[in-house]
Amino acid sequence: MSSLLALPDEQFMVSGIGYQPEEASDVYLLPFNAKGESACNLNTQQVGIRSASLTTAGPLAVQEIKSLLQVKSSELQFEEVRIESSDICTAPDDYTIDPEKINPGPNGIRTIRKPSPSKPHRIGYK
Amino acid sequence: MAGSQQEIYLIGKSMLTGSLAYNQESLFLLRLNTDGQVFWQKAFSFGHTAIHPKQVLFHNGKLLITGHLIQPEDNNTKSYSTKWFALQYKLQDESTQSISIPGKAYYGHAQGTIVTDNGYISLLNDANYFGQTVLLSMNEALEITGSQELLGTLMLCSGLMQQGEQLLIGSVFSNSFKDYSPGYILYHPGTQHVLAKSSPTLFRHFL
Repeated sequence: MSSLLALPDEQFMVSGIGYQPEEASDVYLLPFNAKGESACNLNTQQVGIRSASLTTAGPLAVQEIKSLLQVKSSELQFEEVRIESSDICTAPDDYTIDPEKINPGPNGIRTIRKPSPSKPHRIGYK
Repeated sequence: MAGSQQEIYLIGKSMLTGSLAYNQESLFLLRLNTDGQVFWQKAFSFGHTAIHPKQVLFHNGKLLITGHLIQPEDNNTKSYSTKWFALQYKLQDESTQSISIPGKAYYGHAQGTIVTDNGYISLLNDANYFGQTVLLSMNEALEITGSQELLGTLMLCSGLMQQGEQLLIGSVFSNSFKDYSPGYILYHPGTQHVLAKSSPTLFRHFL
């Protein structure tokens, strides 16, 4: 299921979760400009529109619900929930990466890619 | 959640009886101030029905709640159908109106509602996820003023926004290989123009 988020200047973002079998799940973030353009190539999908037979009189009629009742709510109990935060997740842009200070990995190579905010990117997690 | 600078409205559901998924549930509505203090709470029941509220909108002194119900079909409690519903609650006189689409699962799931100059537009999706999608127009008395079906590529639509004169719908598209591609549909009600774009295939299973 995707989510739709409004961004400034009529830009918008589609996001959601997908996964490949035997692989890590992905959160996808797809930003678009106001014209619906993206930094990546897009496929055109064939979608049309027609009047639906969903009327107040047809077989798929919308009808008033007769069984609606306002009922006595069992008094909901509220209590204050103490929330503690910690830095378990940090956005890439929060750090300025100084290549001189990066310790190399076991194979001597460490690559840190900083995702471009204008391009769609996936955040993988196990 | 909906509200203004002084007040917040929250929706949820609570079970009235039993522990089975389709026993009687109630929809609750809370009015809070911005400090989180509860002014009042209301609860509504649709009878022997599971309730899944999705969204609440505050407009012209009224609250519009949309979602879906799961109800037994006739007296056969082993068979259930999913029905989109809209419930409107007027704050001034506490009156209610509610509508649903009767019959078997079709346009079952509420996927987003917006306020327009003429009332509301609601996005309804197939209760079986990928399938039928409808844009339902209603006036403020919850009378249906139009309905339009989106056709074509297999899609699961969720999320509806107004963008200028166009409607913007979030969607995941699927093909016969069960590849999934997230994207959007832009629909101009005046010109009937439809533009649908998606990313190249991103994933092969769906959550």
